Amino acid sequence: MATDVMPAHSEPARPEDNYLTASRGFMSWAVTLDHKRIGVMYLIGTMTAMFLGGLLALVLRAEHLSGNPNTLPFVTHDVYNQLFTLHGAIMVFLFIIPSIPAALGNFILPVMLGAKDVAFPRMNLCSFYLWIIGAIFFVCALLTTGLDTGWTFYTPYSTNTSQTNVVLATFGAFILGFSSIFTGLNFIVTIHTMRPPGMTWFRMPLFLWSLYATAIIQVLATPVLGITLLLLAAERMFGLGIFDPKLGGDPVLYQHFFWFYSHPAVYIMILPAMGIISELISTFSRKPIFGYRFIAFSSMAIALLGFLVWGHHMFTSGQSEMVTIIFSVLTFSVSIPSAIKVFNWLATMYKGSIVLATPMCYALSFLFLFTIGGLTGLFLGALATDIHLHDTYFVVAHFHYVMMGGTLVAFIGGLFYWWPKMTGRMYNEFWGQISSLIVFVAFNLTFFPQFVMGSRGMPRRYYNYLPEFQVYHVLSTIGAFLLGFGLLLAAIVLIVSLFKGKKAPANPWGAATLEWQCTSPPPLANFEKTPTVGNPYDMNSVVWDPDTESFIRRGDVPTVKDEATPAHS
Amino acid sequence: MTQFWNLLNPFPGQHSTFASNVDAIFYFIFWLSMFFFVAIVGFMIYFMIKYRRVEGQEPESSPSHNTPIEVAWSVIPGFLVLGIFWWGFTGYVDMRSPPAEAYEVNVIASMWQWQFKYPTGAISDKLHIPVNRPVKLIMQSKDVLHSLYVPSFRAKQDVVPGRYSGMWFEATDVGVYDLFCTEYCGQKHSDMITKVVVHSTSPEGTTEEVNQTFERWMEIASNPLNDEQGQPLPLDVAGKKLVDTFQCAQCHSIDGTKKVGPSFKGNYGKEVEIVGQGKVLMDENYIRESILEPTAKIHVGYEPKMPSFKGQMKDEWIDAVIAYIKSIQ
Amino acid sequence: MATAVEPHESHEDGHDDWHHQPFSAHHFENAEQQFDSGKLGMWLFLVTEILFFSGLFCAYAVYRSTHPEVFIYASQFLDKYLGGMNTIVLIFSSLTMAWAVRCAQLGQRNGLVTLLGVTLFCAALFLGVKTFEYTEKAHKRLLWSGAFVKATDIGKKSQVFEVGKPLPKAEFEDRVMASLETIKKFWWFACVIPLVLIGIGYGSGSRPWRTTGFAGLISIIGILAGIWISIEIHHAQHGGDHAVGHGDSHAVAEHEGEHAEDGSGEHGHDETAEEKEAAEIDAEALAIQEKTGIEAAEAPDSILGEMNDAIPAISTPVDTTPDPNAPRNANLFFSIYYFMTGLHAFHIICGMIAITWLMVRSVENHFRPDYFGPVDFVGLYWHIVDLIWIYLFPLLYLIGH
Repeated sequence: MATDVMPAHSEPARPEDNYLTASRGFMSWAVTLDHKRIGVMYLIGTMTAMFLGGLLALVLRAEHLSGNPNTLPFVTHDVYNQLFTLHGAIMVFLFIIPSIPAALGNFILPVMLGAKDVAFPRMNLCSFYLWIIGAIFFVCALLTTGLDTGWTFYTPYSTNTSQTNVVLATFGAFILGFSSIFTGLNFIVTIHTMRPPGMTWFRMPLFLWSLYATAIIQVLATPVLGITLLLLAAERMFGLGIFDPKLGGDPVLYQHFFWFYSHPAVYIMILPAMGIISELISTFSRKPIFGYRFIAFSSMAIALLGFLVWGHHMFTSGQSEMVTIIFSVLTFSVSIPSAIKVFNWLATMYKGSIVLATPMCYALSFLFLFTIGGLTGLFLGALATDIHLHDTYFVVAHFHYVMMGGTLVAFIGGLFYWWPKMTGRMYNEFWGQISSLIVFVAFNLTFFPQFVMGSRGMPRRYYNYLPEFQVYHVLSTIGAFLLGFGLLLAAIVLIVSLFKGKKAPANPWGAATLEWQCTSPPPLANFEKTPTVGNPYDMNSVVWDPDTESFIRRGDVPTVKDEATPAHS
Repeated sequence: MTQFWNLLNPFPGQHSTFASNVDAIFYFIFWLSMFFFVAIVGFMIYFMIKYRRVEGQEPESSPSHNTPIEVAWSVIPGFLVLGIFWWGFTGYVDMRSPPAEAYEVNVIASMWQWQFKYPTGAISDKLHIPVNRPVKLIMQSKDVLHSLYVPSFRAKQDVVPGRYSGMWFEATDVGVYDLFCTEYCGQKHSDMITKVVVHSTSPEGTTEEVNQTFERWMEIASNPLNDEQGQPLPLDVAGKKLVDTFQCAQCHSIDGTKKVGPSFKGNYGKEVEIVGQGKVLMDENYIRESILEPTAKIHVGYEPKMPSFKGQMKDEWIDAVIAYIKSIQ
Repeated sequence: MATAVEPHESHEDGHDDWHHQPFSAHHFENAEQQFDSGKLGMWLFLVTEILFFSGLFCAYAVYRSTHPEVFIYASQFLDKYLGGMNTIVLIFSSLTMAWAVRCAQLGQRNGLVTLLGVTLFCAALFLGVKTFEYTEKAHKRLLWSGAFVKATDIGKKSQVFEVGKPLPKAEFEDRVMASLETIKKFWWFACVIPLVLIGIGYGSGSRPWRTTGFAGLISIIGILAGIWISIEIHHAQHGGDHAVGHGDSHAVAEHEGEHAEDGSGEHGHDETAEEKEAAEIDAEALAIQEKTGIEAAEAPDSILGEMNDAIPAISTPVDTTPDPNAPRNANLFFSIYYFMTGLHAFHIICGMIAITWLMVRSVENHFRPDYFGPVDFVGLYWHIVDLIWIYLFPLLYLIGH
């Protein structure tokens, strides 16, 4: 498949070649069909988007330092509205949705599965370029007129009133939707048809189960977003009239369409994060995951139930009371599978051998933050309290605890976990742990005050606020800058490791999943010989080998020693 | 110290009949969540310390699953959340079932102001309601989505263009409370805030903050051309009052600066350029037409954004507004 | 989907013959796995397609239930005979497509190419009929709700077009004429491109270019034939009567009879006279020039000229008295009609491109009994496009009857 782009292939492959060194030059990356390189490119792309979105967030927070609207002279009403819109749109469409599936998932999924690549490598590359095009659309919107509709593009403001370039951003989101569909489709087919012999469904690591559940949502929900955005664009450009009350349409219908996608999209964001946490907690407790099947099925349950609860974003929108009540009861049903996962993770730690390596620190932060995020969801699912809390900072804090405290923290944890595999370098453990501590503390400082200010009545998306809310805003802003610093520190730790890190062994953590059986970084075709598929959580199958400073498979001990001895002598 | 605890108090005061129930549900969920949270984090920290890795020592084996326990912690939370749902549901049904005898107020939301119309024909920019009486709001939007939110009443409802939205509440205390728009509605969304003034129905109940009874306030508000004692005001003073009530100054400045619409100051009696119709003298007739049919003659350099006030402004009110505009030239 | 199974050079020292085949992808273990992956991928893609349309079907269901009167009133403006013909054409094309897959499985190259050609022609025929329908609707000013108001103006002026209500003439003419003029120019282009491709193909001896050119020519002829047939059907039903709302209740045969009765008696019954008669009646009603010497498919300009005649010319005001029976917001129906059929037509066009690609590859003899995945996958896609139309037709054309 890759011959035309990888000239190195005409020569016999040297054993020390890995996917990073197999071929060189810009074009060898730009037209690569290797899932690992595409994953790395996605990683760089989504990280850039996160940096941009984070920068916008910091400007927003800085503006809120005082109730006086001129804290930052250049942030006017309009600029503020554009900042929070673009912060939301960039973070959701460009960062969180593609972050774990497209960046980490692309890299890890085939290796973890024991396959040579995803089923459709060209489609995979196409997905990445669609992401780039979508990103360009967003950046164009940002640089021309901005966008001030909120990331939800609610009609009729977005179709009739907004003076900004809504159509450009809409097409950007539309294209990103297809990028996401392509990734999801690829993953489903890969998991169905590319499993090597011995890899049964219930021998798949839980990260794969969660990616599979995520892919189902991506494939089923994203087309509805696509059509909604097309209708929105047609409405704005031609006056189609479907969502415009002046032409007989119904703006609430738009909200139904939008949330039919965007609520399942919440699970596109959190499910893969849960998968990562299952891997991390099991590996660093050196214990098989507790209740494997319950966790696997709870992922599927979340994926399916996630399609039935979109109306809980609209409890005050004027939908009928009966519909509201039904959505409320369905919403509570989603909380059960999430609770199951949390309990199972805890039980995995019981009687384990826990080491607080950097990825585990992030995983435990996740457990703390996600529990808060999940439990505060109960306040919003209950009808009477939601009426009070809807569209206040309480909601903002809730979804940041889930999206950022959950997904982002798990993503960074996963990045630290697989970093040695991806780059072949170990990072500085001490500074990695420090970064996780700062992120954890700063995160709570940023978003906990927002719960209080929300339930006290501070509406979201407000440029000005009443003086009584100032103390919470100040705390939140201090936390936000500290959080920015913590994330920057994590980035520095990783980047420094590229230049100064020790060479990573094949299996530094002692995990039993397949990706640790190949070298770090993996060779171009992932495995020199077909890997042995066993129980992915059988920690007893690997033992620490002080010679190579790596974990090795028990059965391999003599052979590895045999190979290692002559090298030493 | 009290100040510190005050900061952690999650709620504004309870000033409607719903508030205590909503807060009770909130605290119920809060303590339930707290229990689970403390248990989860407690076990997490305990395991972290108790089972930390000791070099060279493999963990003792423990079961990889235990179906009775797993079923238990799936089913028990299920019952708990059903309980939460039930309580929230009953509270919600109360909030959505206005009593038949409720006092009705029409609400008109537009970018970025609230206007309240009362059965007597009075119009105000703050919501004035009687205490201890159910009030039903019949809301409509002139442009985009808005949402009316009174934190002290724990009440909120979106205002959707193209249809009437309804909500109700019963205030329990005389006082002045915040009223916010909580559905993003464009540039000055955060300025779309006003107050709810809860009046006493008897003179004994009045406070320093709200010193009129509801009837008294209604009497004055129904006739903006009179002062508080019921004496006719000078026409231009009454005009100023009307300009405030209708919040004309949101778009028309009174100091000559250009806002969304032309300024009230400095244009009267001059010829102004009209889109497609040449020059027109800005006189009484022009102002009157602009109030009733704003898009008929558009001043060059401005967008036709003004809504019509036909049916909202009585003829004599328009006279007063014209008198006011003349007075500030 | 099919991209992953395109031919390319094998670079791996595989253990079996399969890895040396030009069409095998290195990351698959065997041909079966490759085919299964492609097939599953295609089915998933079809699921996304259905969900894509399901949003529109939901919108349809919502407005049908909230505004039933709009749908019953407005659907009478759609011509069920044209819609019915399109349905038959598409069902027939599904047959030829399925047959083409069979030919590919059996390795019958000539049958495969021919059947793909027929499928392509049917697709083009469908588009031709749609072209006529859209143009006729535009002339009757049956358009979506905000067609004559810029969306950003809607808030400012309540100048909303409704069925039967006259519009500012200048604005209307500008828009429709401009688009029609563009279409006219476009046809000439479209005709030139395939001929150039064929020329290049023969000149350079490149079969792919030549095949693409012929596929383009088939498409153009199909579209023109579609327009021509629609004009015939339209005339057969309406004669010279262009009053809105009459086209729904008469069978073609009846109508021809009526025609002879109320016609001026000077018309013959052979083909050309029919055309001439229609053109003349149009001319009377609309004061436009006489059209003579109208020839069939090869002359796009005359077909388009005739299309202009077959429907009320815009230089003459159509009946502008508002229809008292028209319900409010009747254009909502046309919003949904244009969006759904437009999106479907876009899928037809994509299908035509895919079929052209298959034709090129089958002329090159790429497909064999052990490798026919792409034909199978495009076939599946084509069936789903047909299926969507089979739902659209009754939902849009046959309600209210």
